[in-house]
Formats: sequence, structure tokens, C-alpha cells
Amino acid sequence: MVSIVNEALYTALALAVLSYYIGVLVLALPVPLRGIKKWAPYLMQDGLLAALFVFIFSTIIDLVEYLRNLIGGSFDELLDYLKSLYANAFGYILSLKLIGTLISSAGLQPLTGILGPLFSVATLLFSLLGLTLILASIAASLKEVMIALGILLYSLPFRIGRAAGSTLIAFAMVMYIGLPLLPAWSTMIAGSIMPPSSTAIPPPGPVTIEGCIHGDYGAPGGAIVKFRDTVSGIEHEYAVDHNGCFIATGLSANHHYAVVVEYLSHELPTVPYSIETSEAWSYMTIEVYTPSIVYPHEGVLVYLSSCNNTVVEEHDSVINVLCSVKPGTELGIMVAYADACASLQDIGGYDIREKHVRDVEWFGYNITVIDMIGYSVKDNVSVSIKPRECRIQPSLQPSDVADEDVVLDVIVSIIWYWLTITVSISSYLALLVMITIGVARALGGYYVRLPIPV
Amino acid sequence: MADLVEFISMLTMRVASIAWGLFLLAWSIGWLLRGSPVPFMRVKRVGQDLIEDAIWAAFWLAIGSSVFALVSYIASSIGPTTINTTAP
Repeated sequence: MVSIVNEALYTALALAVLSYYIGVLVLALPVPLRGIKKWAPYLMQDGLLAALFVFIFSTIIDLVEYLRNLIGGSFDELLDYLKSLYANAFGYILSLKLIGTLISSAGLQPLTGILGPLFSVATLLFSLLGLTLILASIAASLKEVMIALGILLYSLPFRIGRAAGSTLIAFAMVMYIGLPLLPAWSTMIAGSIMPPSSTAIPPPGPVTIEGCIHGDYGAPGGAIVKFRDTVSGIEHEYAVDHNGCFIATGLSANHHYAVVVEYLSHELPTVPYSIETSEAWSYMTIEVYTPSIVYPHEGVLVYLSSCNNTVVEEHDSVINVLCSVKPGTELGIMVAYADACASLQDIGGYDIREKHVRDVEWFGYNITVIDMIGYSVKDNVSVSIKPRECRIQPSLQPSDVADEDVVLDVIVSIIWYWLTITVSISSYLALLVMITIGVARALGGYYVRLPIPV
Repeated sequence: MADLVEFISMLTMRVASIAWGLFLLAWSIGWLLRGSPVPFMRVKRVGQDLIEDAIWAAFWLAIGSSVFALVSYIASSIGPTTINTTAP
């Protein structure tokens, strides 16, 4: 990328110099034609102006970044916002279908025609979201290349590429500075539009939470993560893959959920303990940490109540969990493993006071749980596990999505909300395009014509 | 791309040398027209314009590299630069 920028700038400078000397040559022509000679000073000025642009390229980049930081907003926020709109927009289609069935079941068949324009708004919405996502990705990553190529086009002699070059420069600058403000613009417009209903209900779009669970070592492959609504007590369960990662869909916005990880018949403490969903961010990523727990292998869980440092190493097909601790410290150890996945080999450096062994069944897997309380003898307590190849995959019932009472008011406010979003995004893009044309004219791109009517 | 830059630089040097030659030609033609015994003021006017334009062309040609150095200096006083001047 850097080489394209440098090559474009070198070529632009060479073209600027060429344009200047062509201007001098035209001035020196021994022909008395004013029509040709009047081009001479224009060519020379164009050459000098293009050379100036080449020299202040990095200043332009710094200025653009400074303005962007000054004005606020970031591309990460913008991309998250667009992704959450994209995820929620399907809810809009579903609500349109629902209103269609409601109308036809009420016997008002001819009225389903009104859904036609609303569906075309959905098409417009999806194409706008896609377009804005692409523009944002381009503006975020390619601004230096576009400005350098714009300067290259600008420096072509006889003003061949002047309009194109200045439009490209203006486009890169305006999109980089302006696009991250889209969420603020949409929120402002959506906040000022009152839906035509007596109760101002926010659109209850489903929230998606994506994340990964990890312990002091490893991840609980095949665990179950539960989101328990603290108000209603309804639990939503999701399976966790062998990397410890999960995607929880269908959660409700503006709800407080306690996060619970269930693995090998134990409910593990988590950090964060609970999570709050809001309507503004319907796509969230979280990191869940289960403290003091080590997952040395799939289907194995080792809990060590107090360790200064935990290290896991593999040696001769035996996995050792080494817990460094002061000698003589009271330590609780709990080892839970699926019989198909591992067997406990040995516990070293540990003086056992109490030991309880029990077998439980968890989703069809036989789990052996060993609870121990004791003292550390040396400064290292080791738990040795002999692993076996296995895969934990608990079968879950399909999660019950909490059924909210779908009232006509709610549907109408959903439709109104999405119409507002569509209007706000299209108006903002139109605004940015007009600013781009203005900046292009200011940079010297006369007679800028765009193929779309604005 | 580097070939393109070299090509443009070669072209620029050719244009500059042609411009020097044209300056001499235009200057001579200008004085020729100016000093000709043709009784039309228009001819002498044309000759005068040719001389002036030729002198200006020679001036800008001579200080071409200095002008680009000046632009570079102005740009560097506005902000940091990344390019060296490569004017012939």
C-alpha cells in the first residue's frame, strides 16, 4: 500500500514538472496565435499547484486525521452500528409479514397492497446498509491511496484528470471525516420523530451476544452458557464450541441477564457476573472468564482455590497442571472429568485431608467429580491427567425465545422506526455527496458532473 | 511505475531542450519581424509580442528548478514532506 502511494506521488511530481515545461515551451512558440499561447500560464500554474499538492501530501493526511479526531466518532463504532442495524433489519421484514397476516386474518384482503411500498423500503434499506458498509470499509483503509491517486490524476497536463482527481481527493477526505458521524445523525433523527402511537415503545429487536469463555488455561469445550433474565427468571441456553466460543441470539433488549456457565454438571462462577442489554447495541461481544479454573483438555475441569501461578504442560501423553503455591497453604482442589475424555493419574505435592469422589450423569456423559481439601507440601502442586480423544456435545432443546406480546402499536412503531432509519441514512449519504462535490470544486475540479442526479 | 517516471523525466528533458531552441528561434523571428521594412504596425506588434514571450519563456525555463525548490520550501514550512525534488 505504501509503495502505491509513493509511486503515485513520484509520478505526480514528474507529471507536474512536465506540465510546467510544456507550458514554457508553449510560451516560447514562435506563433502569434493568442488562443494557443493563453494555455501557457495555465499549464505552468497547474504544474506548480500539482507539485504543491505532492509536497503537502502528508500534511493533508495529518489534517484529515486531526479533523476526524476533532469532530468525533470512530469507524469501529460505525461498523458495529451498521452490523447491528443489519442484524435487526430482518426483524423489520418479519413485522411486515406479521402485519400482513393480521390484515388478511381480519378480512381486509385488499389492504395488503399497502405493504408493497413498505417492502420496497426494506430493499432500499438493505442496499443502503450494504453501500454504507462498503463505503466505510473503503474510507477507513484506503484514504491515503485514494488521495495519492487523486493527486496523480490532478497533475496530468492539460487538466485532463483535474476533475476526476479533485473528486477522488474530496471523496476520500469527506468520507473519512463524515461517515463515522452517521450513528449520531441517525440517533438524532430517530429521536426527534414521534411514532404514531400513544405509548413510545422502543423497537424490541433481538440482541445477539457473541463471545468466548476462557479460564486460567484453556476453554470449556462443549459447555453450556446460560443467560438468566434476573427479572423473569427465564433462562436462554446456548451451546459452546470446543474453543469455548458461543453465539447467543434471540435475547431481548433492555434486559439484565446473569451469565452462567454450566460444564460437567457444575455451574461455574463467571466474570462478568451479569450483562445488561440495551436497544442501542443489538450486537455485542463479550469475554467471559471463569476464575481459578483450568481446562487442560476437552471434558476436563480442574479448580484450584488459590494459586500464585498456573502452568499446564504435556509430557509423554500425560497433561500436568502445575499450581505454584507457598508450601503449607490450605488448598481446595476439585477435578471433574468425563470418563470418556480423561482419567485422573496422580496428584503430587499435596497432602489430602478430605476427599469425596462421586459419579454424576450430565447430558449422557458419565462425569467423575473428585473434591479434595488439603495442604500443599512443596511449592508446586501438580494434577496429572491422562487424556483421551473425545468431543463433548450436549444436546440442547431449541431455546425458547421469550414471547413478548405483539401488539399492533408495537408493529407500527417498528415500521416507523425503520422508515426513519432508511430516511436518515439516505439523507446523510446525500449530504456527504453534496459536500464532496463542493470540496472537489474548491480543489479546482471545474465542471464536476456525477452520473447520479443529486 | 518506475519506468513511467523515467519516461516522463526523459520527456521533460526533451521538452526543456526543445523550449531552449524555440526560445532562440522565436526571439530571432521576433526581432526579424520587428526590424522588417514592412509598413504594417500589426507585423511590428506581432514581432514585439514574440520577443517578450520568448524572453519570459527563457526566464521561466532558467529558474524552473528554483521555482519547484521554492514550492517545496513553502510546503515544508506548512508541514512535513516526504518527496525530494527531482526537477531536471
